[in-house]
Amino acid sequence: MRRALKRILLVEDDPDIQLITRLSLEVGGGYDVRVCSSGAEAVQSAAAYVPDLVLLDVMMPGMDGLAAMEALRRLPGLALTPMVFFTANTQDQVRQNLLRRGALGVIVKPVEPNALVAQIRALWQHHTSSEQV
Amino acid sequence: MKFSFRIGIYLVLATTIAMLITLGGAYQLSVTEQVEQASAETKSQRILGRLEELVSAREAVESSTLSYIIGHSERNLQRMSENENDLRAGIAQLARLVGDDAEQQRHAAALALAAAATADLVQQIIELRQHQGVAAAVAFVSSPAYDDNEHEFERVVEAMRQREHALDADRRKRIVVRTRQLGQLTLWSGLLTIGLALFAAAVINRQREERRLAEAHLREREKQYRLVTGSVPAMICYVDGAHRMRFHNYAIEEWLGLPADRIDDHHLAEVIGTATYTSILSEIERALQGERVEYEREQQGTDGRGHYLAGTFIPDFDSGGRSVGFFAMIIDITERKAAEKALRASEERWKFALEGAGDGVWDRNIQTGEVVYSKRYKEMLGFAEDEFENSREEWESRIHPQDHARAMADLDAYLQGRSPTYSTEFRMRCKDGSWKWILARGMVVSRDALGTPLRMIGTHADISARVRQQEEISRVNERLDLALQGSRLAIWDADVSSGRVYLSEGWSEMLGDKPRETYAEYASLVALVHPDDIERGRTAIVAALKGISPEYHVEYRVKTRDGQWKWILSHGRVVSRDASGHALRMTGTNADISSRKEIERMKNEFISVVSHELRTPLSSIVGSLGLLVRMQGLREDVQTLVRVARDNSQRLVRLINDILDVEKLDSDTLHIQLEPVELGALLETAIQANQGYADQYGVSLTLTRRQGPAWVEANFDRLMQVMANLLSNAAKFSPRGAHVEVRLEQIQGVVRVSVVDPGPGIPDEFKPRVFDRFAQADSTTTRHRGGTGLGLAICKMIIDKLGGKIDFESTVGQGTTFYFELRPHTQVSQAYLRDRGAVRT
Repeated sequence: MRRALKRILLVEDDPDIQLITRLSLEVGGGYDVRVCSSGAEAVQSAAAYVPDLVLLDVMMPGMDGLAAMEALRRLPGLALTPMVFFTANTQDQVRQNLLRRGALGVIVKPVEPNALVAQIRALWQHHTSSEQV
Repeated sequence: MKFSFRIGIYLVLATTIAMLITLGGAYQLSVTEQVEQASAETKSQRILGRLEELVSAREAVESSTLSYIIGHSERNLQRMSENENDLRAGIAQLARLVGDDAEQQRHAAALALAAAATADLVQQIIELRQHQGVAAAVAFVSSPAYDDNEHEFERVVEAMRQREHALDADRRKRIVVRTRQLGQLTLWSGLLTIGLALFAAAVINRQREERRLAEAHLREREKQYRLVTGSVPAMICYVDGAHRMRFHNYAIEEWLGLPADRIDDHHLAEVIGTATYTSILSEIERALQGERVEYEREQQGTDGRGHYLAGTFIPDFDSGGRSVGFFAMIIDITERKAAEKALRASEERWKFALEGAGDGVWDRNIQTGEVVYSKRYKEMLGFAEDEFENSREEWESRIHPQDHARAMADLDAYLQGRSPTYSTEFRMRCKDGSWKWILARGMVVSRDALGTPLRMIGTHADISARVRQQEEISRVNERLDLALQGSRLAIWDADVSSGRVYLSEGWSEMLGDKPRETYAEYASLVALVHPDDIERGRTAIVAALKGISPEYHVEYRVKTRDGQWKWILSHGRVVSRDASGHALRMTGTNADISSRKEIERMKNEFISVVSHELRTPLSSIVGSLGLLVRMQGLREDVQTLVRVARDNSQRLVRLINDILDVEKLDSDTLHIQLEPVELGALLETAIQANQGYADQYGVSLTLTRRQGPAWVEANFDRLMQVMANLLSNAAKFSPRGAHVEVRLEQIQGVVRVSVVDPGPGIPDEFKPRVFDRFAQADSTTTRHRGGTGLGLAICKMIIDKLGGKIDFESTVGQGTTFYFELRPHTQVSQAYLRDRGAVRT
């Protein structure tokens, strides 16, 4: 039986997007969401929280999304945790670069709450099916 | 040289003779000396003998004195006296013998004195014996006086002996020296004689060789002379005042077929026949009157054929100045005459040929200035045969004033040998006053013995049309140059087989050099290209050369003179191929697009920033409205307003996405990642993904497959984007309850995907603008249907990038079918896709 997605760590510096994304995931998907405003904060709380999936903004002050992902991966228990990026940049090379660096997927902003949940579900399904393989 | 050799020989002889005389004299002297030496030796022996005899004689005197003292007899006395006489006589003889040596003479005199003293002492002894007895006499004999006399005598004798030995030794030494000198003299004389003898032999040999060569030369000269005189082609003879032949050469015998004895001393009429004689009689008379005569006649030869003879009679004058005969030189010029005739015929032929070719012909006598112009020549200028004067002035006066000096200079340069050919162009005034461009060419066909030109022939060709064409080409080139300068383009022209490339001035300017035309090797141009761009450029060129791609179109960076990189857009195509299709020549242009690239970069940066900055607040709006719509308990009118806000915010997102897509596709920055895609599966996914949207319009989507798996090389996401646009359009424009059919089929080697809707169809007037950006058949449609007006433009751009084709068929009132075609996976040319900005993942 597949493992269920429960805990999502959201790393996003924009307070509005933090709120809407959290609400979308909580209300639309029924997930437990922990919000961090920066990469550094995420690294601090992730060890204790141990998320099933991390949703990261790309452009953030200080540590950007990519750096945050690499820092998180070095934490115990997070080496294989799926990381999904959330970005307003639609350029193909940016998307390809994120996937090459080990992201599970890239969700382009803006996105409807329903669509966001649907995309997260699809990615999780893909992730767990590959885990089983 | 001969003179000095002769002198040399004389000198050798004289020297040899003088040397032999000297040598003889020396030997003569030597012999005399030897004879004298022998005589002196004899004399010396005699002197020495005589000295021994004198010593004995004195001893005899002494002995006889002692005998007298003791015996006191007369007989003893007598013996004493005889012995004294012998002594004196011996000394006298000695004195004669030594007569030629002064020292010996002095010694002989001393000896005579000693002998006289001895006689005195003996006399005293006799008296003492006689008067005082034996004892007194013996005492006297023992006295010092007596002993002194004896010693004196012995000393002088000894001195004479030594003197004689010394003289003898001197003589011997002299003889030895002389003999050695004579030996050396003989040796040197011998060597000198041998040397002189060798020299004389060499001189004699040389003279003999020279004489031999001189004789050979003479023989050769004689031979040449015989050959020359024998091979003279002319007939040469001498005729005297009585018309008799006095001398002739072999050619005369040959011509007349007569032996020599039938010619000399015979009358001319007899030798050459009366008819011939009569025919030249007047010339003979004139020559005999002292005039040099030249003539040409045709005469019958002994071979029965007619011959042309050219004769020259040169009068011969005696010391009084009277003409006494003449030398005649007659040459057979039959062949020359025939050649001249052939030449005339040939001239007629080539004149005819040139006229036939449309050229006018001129034939000019350079000395007289008379020129013959052909009919065509005159026609070219619009003149009838009799309207154009046959003179150089006529030609010169019609040359354009601006061309006159050059035309004359070209002609002079040729005639004076400064130019190897005569070919010049000038304008000539026609009869009607118009000007025609003429190409004049010619050559000297006849010169005198000094090489001075006598006759020149040539042609006139009307090149007015060609000159006009050239002027037109120049104007076109000038326009092209100006256009190139204005557009800052560089033209290139590549010879494919040699790899040589010509580039116009703009190229060197692009590289930061002074403007100049460049001829470069392909490899040297590649060396300028940025390493990251070389492969792309090479692929594009190869595709164009092989004909895979109809044109060559590539952007790359090149390094300028100051080390900066400049973006170049190179565009061209193959303009000629050989029979087997290999490219021979490729031409095109290079444009400096660095500024455009910079603007592009700035624009991309701007768009990236704008898109991010727009999307971030939009994310909040879309997210918030999405959440609001789902909230329960809102008033109905509030729900309606929230839905309106959500729909329009979604439309704004689509618009932004579409604008960004168009921008990316447009600016070539979007490189589509290629992957094998199975269209059947893709279409099924697309239908599923878009059915929700279609449901809003009450439209169902169905897939019709007319074949098995259809693999193409494309990009899944981009094809999904195309399908989303086509399906949403079909759904929006179909009536509620309609079916939209998606059809997959293979037609004529391509895979075709069609989206068939039963909508209102596209009006004819809108059809040409269907794929234009923001094009809508009805401006109100955009708002009503929620479209952005960019969907079909994006579809076309994507399909183009994938190397496919997109189009539609539509009939108003019956519906529309949009379709795109892609080549099956195995047939897609990778190079072509890369060239169009698509890259394999």
